Amino acid sequence: MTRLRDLRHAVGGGDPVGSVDRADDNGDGDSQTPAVRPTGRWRGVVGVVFLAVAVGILAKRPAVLLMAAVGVVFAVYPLVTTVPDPTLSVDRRIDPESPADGDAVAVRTTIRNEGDVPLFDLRIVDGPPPTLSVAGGSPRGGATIGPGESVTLTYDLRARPGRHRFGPTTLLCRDASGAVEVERRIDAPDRIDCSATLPTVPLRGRSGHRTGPLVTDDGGSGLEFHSVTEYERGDPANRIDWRRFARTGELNSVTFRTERLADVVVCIDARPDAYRARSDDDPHAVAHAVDAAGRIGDALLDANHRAGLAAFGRESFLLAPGSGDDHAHRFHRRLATAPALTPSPPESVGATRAVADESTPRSDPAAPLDHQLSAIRERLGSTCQVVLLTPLCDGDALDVARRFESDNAHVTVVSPDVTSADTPGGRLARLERDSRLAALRNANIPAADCDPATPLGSALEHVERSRR
Amino acid sequence: MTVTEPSAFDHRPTPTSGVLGLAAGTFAVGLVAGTTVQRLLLTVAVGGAAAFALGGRLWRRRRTAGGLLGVCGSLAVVAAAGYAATRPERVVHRLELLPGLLGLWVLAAGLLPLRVRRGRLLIDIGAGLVFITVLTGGVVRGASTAALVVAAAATILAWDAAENAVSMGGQVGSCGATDSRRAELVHAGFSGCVAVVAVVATLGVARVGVDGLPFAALVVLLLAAVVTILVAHR
Repeated sequence: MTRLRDLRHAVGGGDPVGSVDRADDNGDGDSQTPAVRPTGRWRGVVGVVFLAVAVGILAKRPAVLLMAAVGVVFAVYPLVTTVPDPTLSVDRRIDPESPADGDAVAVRTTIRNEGDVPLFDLRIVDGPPPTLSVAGGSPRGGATIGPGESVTLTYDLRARPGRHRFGPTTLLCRDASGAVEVERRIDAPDRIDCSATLPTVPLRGRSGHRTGPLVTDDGGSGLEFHSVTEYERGDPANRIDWRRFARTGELNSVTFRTERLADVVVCIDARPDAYRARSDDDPHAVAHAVDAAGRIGDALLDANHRAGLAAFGRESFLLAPGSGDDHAHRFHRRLATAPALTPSPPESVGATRAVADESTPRSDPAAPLDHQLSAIRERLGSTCQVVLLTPLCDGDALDVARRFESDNAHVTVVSPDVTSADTPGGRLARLERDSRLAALRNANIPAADCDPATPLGSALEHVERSRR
Repeated sequence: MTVTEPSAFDHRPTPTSGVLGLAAGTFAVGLVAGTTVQRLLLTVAVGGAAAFALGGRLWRRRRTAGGLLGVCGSLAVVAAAGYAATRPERVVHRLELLPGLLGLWVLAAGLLPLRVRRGRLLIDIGAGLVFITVLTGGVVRGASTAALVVAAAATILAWDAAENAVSMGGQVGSCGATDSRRAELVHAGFSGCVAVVAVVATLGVARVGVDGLPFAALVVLLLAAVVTILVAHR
């Protein structure tokens, strides 16, 4: 399938305002970066000229002054090159678009120079879905392309279950001297759908009064045997245990486990601390959580439960549980567009907890978490249960689970494992996470430990089995 | 999920521009190194720096071989630098070559890179040391005016190519699916043309008879040119 999107921007006079930032480590989506920025790479030449002039004067050597003159020519060089005004189109081919779990997906992204001038130094960073890892090739490349020419990036992605969206393709175009860098982002919202429905979602025996598929611990009508109780006047005749009556002469009725409808809120931990990944090339825990949330939501809605969505982190929101196609659509749209679940990590990851100024200013990052949680908990119904998706990277995640539990909202924790055993620090983090998982289980909170390499379904089934 | 896939994106400088940068730096030092001893020491040091860079590249895949090569290369550079500091009879020859040899080594270290974040700093220092060699050559009259002017241009080219290697490597990785080689060569080609223009213009002006001009006039002219550029940069 071919999709073609064009982008024709006028460069606004090439006015390079703002700080000189050497524009490496791109790929973290910040749309506020200016489209045209000076790289400042030739600035040092002026210093070299001054040094040569000074040495030449002190030593009275005309030859050294001539060396300074060479430097002057190089200082003039970036002034005479023109700022590129790239007109580019991006065409992405994905084969296959609906792969099975574990398949390699070949992606071919073709960038064509639609303008009339050659682009001498074009650097391309394609935006593969953050949830998928690159299995071969590279989604990045550098090229020189003349007018009408094109360049193709070829790489493979390893498909994982879920719906994965491509991010924008970032194109960095430098002039011949490299003094000015023009950035373009072209959105090509392609998608990879890899369907693999979850066989089961472990739910806890907490429910409302509507009949549904959740087998509870309450006796009543249903399919699964619950208990035998003494007959009370008014019990239905078809539930009387006639064999026992024949044997002992006592009237007993059999009760079954009632099957109810569950109200489940899938809650995602998207705090800056949750944006951890095994390595720079692997998806971070929030991407895993968003992916898992979509599939858990699908599984719940397919089983006619009522599913809601919540997240806390940079901000919080709650989509109250509901059912039906419209609600499923709302659920997925929230998952894809909620600002709290932005795939790009906040600036403060890894560093101190200084919160970037672009979002709402916060003095203390711990206080808003309390506010956010109480806002979510206030709106949870009394019969709601929570599936909490958190990497359990710190003790706060544990507190969140306990707080939900203490509010009588039954919690099931699903935790994507993003720790790595490659470094001593990683091994320590893994140990700490294991002890947090144990603490949860000791507090009778079921916790699923999901290794991203193994299917989510098996981890959930494991919890379901161990609960019985 | 394997983390160390061969295709995984790394921020290492690209090899093409790196080799170009080292070659230009070597050329610059070679123009200044006039005596036979200096040439010999330069050859040893360049061989050492190249082995060091190659060993650093191999390090990720083959630890032992890469490490051994890197250590041997470093030893060769250190030995050459030691000889350069003691062996040549005239003190000026010693002063002249030493920073250049160390500069090439630091340049190679910046292109490895020893530390990705510090790559640019190492390249600045390395190219700066090479330029100091060229400057010293000018002060002690170690080479002809033409050779000095060409060496200065080659030093700037070395820095330009090495910086481009770091920047290209940082943005698209050293082993991208699409070869960034063409873009790098085009970039280096343009810089080379500028260098040729600079050398021809400078030597042309010198031929006209700058030597006859009062020295102060030359200085004032150059400073005026620099100020003009600074104003134009605003």
